[in-house]
Amino acid sequence: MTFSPLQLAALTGIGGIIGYFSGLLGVGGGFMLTPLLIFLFRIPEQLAVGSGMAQMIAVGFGATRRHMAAGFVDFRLFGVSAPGVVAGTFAGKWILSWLVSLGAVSLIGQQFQLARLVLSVLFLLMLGWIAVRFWGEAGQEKSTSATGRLCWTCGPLLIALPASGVSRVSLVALLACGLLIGVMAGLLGVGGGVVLIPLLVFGFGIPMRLAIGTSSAIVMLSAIVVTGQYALIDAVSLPLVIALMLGSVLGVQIGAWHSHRLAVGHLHRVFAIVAIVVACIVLFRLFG
Amino acid sequence: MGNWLPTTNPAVAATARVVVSIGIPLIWALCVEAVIHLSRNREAGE
Repeated sequence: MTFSPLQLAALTGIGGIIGYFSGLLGVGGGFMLTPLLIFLFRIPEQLAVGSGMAQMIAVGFGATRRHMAAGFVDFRLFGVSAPGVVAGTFAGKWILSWLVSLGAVSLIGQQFQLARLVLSVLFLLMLGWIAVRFWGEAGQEKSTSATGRLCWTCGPLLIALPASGVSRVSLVALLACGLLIGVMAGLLGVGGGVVLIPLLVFGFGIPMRLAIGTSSAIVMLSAIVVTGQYALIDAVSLPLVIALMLGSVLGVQIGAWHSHRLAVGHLHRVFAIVAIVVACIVLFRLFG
Repeated sequence: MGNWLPTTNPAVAATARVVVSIGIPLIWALCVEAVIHLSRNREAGE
């Protein structure tokens, strides 16, 4: 697929806007980028997922390095989740390739590409959840000491996570959690931090800072594995990746700089509205 | 993306695609980190 200079400029702009929110609010942004690439720019699903995850390597690298330097990565937690993440990425990519191979289906008198239909439903659910979550968080102080409410401390193969101060946690539950994140990355092209961080905090009782740091390392791993998988089938476009990286890396720096100067609490509402706008684009393009 | 590769061997081409697709974002990120590091050092020195 080739891109015109105008398209590349627009993609750089989109990368910059999403990067700005990433730097401002500490979110990855893949859940917005991939649907915009597919539904706004009409980029094929596999190319959008592969290229989106490749640019996530560039965006996530700095965050992971900073969290590691500050000691906020639990390497044991990362190590036990990693096999699940890697297996999940393979499963996610396989599911997407299978959906693409199924072609079109007829539904309520309209023809839909099955892959596009399934992805749009999943994106709509995710964007809706994110909009509700960020709207609810508006104006609230972010807790850094949240502890587990569900705490999956029972189950088979219990292990301890000393760095996180967790005495026992089910290895199977951690692997399942990693598997879910891997499937999300391979199928939807999203890092999954917005799902992983609440899971680690409320599911396993991991302290918030360690959950954020370890999550960024896990997202980096899934981004690298997914990029490799999609590069193998020639579904990573370098011009697209470079255009997105140009915008997003600049946007992240401006967002991070602004985050110290703006009342971020109120910007959660703006972000929730942006998520709703992206959901509307997905919906209109699906039926358009 | 594989058109620019000076090879007709599919295995070599696939490996090159993987290395380039992961390598370019990593190099880009390292360059950005280096620029940030240098600018902070300059600020600290002033």
